[in-house]
Amino acid sequence: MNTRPPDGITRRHFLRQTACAALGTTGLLSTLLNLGLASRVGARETGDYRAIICLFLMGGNDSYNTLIPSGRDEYKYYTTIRGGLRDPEAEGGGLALPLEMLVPIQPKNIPGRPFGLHPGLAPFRSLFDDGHLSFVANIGSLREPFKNVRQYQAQRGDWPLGLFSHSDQQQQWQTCVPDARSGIGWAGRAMDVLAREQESARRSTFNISFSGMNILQTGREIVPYTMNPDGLVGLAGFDRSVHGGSGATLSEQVIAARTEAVDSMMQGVYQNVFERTYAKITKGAQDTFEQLHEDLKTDRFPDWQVTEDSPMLEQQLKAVANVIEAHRDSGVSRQTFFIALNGFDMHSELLNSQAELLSMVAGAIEKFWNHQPSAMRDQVTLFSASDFARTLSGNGQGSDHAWGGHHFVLGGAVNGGHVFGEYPIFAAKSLAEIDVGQGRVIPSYSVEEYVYPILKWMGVSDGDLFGQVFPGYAERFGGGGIRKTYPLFRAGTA
Amino acid sequence: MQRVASVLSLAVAGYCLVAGSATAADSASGQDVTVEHKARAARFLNQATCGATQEEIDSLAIELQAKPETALADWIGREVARPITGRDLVLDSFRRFFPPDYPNYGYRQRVQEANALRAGMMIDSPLQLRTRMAYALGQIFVVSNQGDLNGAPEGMCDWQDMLFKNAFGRFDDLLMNVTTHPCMGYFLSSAGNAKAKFLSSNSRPDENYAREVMQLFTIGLYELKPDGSYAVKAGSLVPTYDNDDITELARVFTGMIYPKGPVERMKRDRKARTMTVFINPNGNVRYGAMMFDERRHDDGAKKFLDGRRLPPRRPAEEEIRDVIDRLSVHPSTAPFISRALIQRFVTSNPSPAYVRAVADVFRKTGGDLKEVLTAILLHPEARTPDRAKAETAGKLREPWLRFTHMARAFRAKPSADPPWFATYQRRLLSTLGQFPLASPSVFNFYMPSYEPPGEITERNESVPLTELPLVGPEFQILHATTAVMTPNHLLEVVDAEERRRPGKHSMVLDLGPQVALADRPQELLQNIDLLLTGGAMSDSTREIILKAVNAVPDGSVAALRERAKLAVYLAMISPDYVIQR
Repeated sequence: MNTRPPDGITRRHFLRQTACAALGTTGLLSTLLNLGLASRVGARETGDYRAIICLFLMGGNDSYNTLIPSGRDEYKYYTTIRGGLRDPEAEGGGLALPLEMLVPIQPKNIPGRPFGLHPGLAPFRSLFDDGHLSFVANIGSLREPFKNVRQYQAQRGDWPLGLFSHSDQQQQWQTCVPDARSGIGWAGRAMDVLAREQESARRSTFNISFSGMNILQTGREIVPYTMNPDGLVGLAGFDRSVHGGSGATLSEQVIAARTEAVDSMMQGVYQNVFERTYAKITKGAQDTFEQLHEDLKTDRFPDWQVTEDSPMLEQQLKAVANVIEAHRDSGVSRQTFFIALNGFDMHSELLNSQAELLSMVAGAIEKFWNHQPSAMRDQVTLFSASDFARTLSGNGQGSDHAWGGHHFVLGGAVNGGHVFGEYPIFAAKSLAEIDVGQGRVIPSYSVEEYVYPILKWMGVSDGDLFGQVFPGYAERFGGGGIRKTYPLFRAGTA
Repeated sequence: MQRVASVLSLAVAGYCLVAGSATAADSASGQDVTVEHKARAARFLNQATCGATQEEIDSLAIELQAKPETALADWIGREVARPITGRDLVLDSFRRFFPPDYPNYGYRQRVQEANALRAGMMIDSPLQLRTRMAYALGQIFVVSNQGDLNGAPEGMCDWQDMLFKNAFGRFDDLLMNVTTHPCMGYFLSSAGNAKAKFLSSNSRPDENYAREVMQLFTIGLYELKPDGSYAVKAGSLVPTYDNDDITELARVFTGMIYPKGPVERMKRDRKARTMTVFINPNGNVRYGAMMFDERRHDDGAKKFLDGRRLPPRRPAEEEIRDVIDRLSVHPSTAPFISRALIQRFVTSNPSPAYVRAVADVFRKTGGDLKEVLTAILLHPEARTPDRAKAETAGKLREPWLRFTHMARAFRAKPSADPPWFATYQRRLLSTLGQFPLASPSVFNFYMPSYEPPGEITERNESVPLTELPLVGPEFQILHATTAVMTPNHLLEVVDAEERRRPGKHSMVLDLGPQVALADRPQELLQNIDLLLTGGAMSDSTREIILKAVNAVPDGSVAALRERAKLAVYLAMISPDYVIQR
């Protein structure tokens, strides 16, 4: 099996092929930004704020049980291919959800083809019907488009790296680089571009993660700032306003000495690359804390009560809302947020565990929606991501790693009430064309194609998208612009 | 120091150092040992144990001076030869101190105390090399309590003991024990796995274990050369397996079921929506390996990765063992595991020659892990301080090992009555970002291939795709939150010495030796440099810390204490210490 690219091509070539052309004088511009000389280059008007929130369902959500075709024939085929209905009392049995449990929805764009939502997603029904939430069907990492199983089998060399493996598929969802392992993500690259139009002094707050380091938000210059839902933390015993000179108490002397020493150490020159990296991360953490500390002093959503016992996702979404509310009238005009939710790798106990997680997800998102002021709703788009869907056939307890899966996008600007993408027709003959085994379905949209409208909405141009944000997409998908797209946002909001 | 009398405080805290692991050096003779030998001893002990202590540094330094060629090999030999007794095993201790009918202990407390006991063992076990190896293995063969297994405290204790017992054994035996342990059976859903159509009309075997046993536990995704670099054919990497191979192996790993009558049984409480565990009041049943149910096992012929046939009609255990053996001798396994272990002990980016030397030992000894570990610790790349000066040498110290090192180097004691550590340990995962056997997924806390953003990622762009980039796995858990919370926690512990009521959330360090040196800042720095950085602190960092210490006038006992605490804290967050070289 081969894993191109050709000999001698390095990552730098690979990722930068056309980046410079699109960006112009990358080096010079970033230098200017670093020096802070261009802090307001093309700054957007106040009020022109947009943010995206990526909710990553870690482990591979079984999305064929979140969005289910419920027309008579399709539903019948669904129960067959999922091994029948589950008998809750017995070991084994199928994975199909009973029709009467499903929450019915009717997509505007596919009249006559009804769908049902997982009962845990019941709160999504009104968001969908009211036009704020849409689904996008059958998305996955693609290196080259495959029309059918024959083509897939004939072109083994064109499979994404580590297809069906968590680590690779999580990475590719975040990088849009299906043919190499890159530590740089598409949101990071997009924010590298969008950083040109924002106040550079606030660059460390452009990408905020509530789930630790991630590749998605790691750009060449912009890296994620990690936060906890319970607030920001700065270095203890560190205070630049304390002076240790004459008349100072012992404790003041210690704080002053400590502060100066920590500052010197973290700004020091180190010969070892890891020492430099460690010092830079520590200094960056403290600097950003000091910047954000003021912004986030007050809870801007006092009516939205969360406690330590609230689901972590709800605590995180409330914290996101607070950051957005603090920033949407500041020099920050574009932000990304990342929240990862573990526990979707349900090789066993699928039906019970998924029900718990999905109802928690939908409940937290509903609260997030309800508490947002309407002006904020139009400025924020939340979308799901996940390693892959899971096999349609079960292993008796759960399902295994598969490929294309279904996702949801929520926002005031979103053209809701649709099922975009191409939901596979649930019938033996048509599914067999795109099922590469055990119900692993070839994606109809690549991850790039899924997020393309989202990034356009954020204000990234085609030139930057194909030049910088989606490296290699243009060549892999036939040279033109985007191969497939869909009207994810309402007219006039783009 | 002897173990404290109270069994409870021992069980929960596990914090009293036992001086038994090395004959404590006579301080008088210690004076003759040169600084250089002490530095060599400290540097070695920080690679091989959960943290160097003054006693062990002194004792090993004397040996190094007397027998420079063999002292370290002798030390390893002694560590390997130490017998395991019941009190070295976590499950035995847990059972002894907390029998299932222990009064007034709710289930949640049992869970917390099992975690505390597991972690505390790393600090006070006299079998330090074995403990450190078991800990390293737990980051390759990952089972985590961050999920339902948190409800199986005895199971997690037993899993840790299993790694501990197998730490110096053969790789294939270890992998068989890993495969058949009920915690792994639960974690990667191999328990209950059955042949096609056994569980339902169109069910098929679960692929979870089959995939991860290859990707993470043996051969990795791409074929490796004996030196750990990628094999390249026609300019491309060569995948070790494809999904058909996984489907075949999934059929092999069928037929394992939980042992009959385990003490703990997972039971789903539908109303509470949480996993609770039923504890059998008759607590004498051993938590054994999984059993085999031949009705579930697919006994048809199968194809192994290399195209060879696995013959039909073999019992589950025999066939699983055969596949474990085949995976263990796969050409990629020796370099894959060798590199992973080198990363845990010595450096994130070993040279190809280093990986090759260790992998050769792996192959020649049939995967004898004590020989592999010896090769890792005694290789020139681990032992030559000059090599450590390279720009890309070393690794980010794991935050958990920074914590255990602090506890050992400064003779930590519990700061309150039990069960102080049980509640305290829950905070450690958030403040340090790490706790033993508590990673977020089977991918551990970090991937061996993680590239920290910034300078390192940028350098890697000029690395061909077929070559290994510069990596820093532990950086995956160093971010704005932990970069601040870890130093804050260290400060809290350092400061706790002073507090009247340190409370139930911390522990107390014995900084007596450092306070005694605090009126002589140069000597104080030398002491701390030896204990923490193995004598490798840079001049500039030393100057920064000295300046801070001198800024606190030494007019009082309280001020001397502050000086010592300041120096310890600053050294522990200095880049010189945090990057272990």
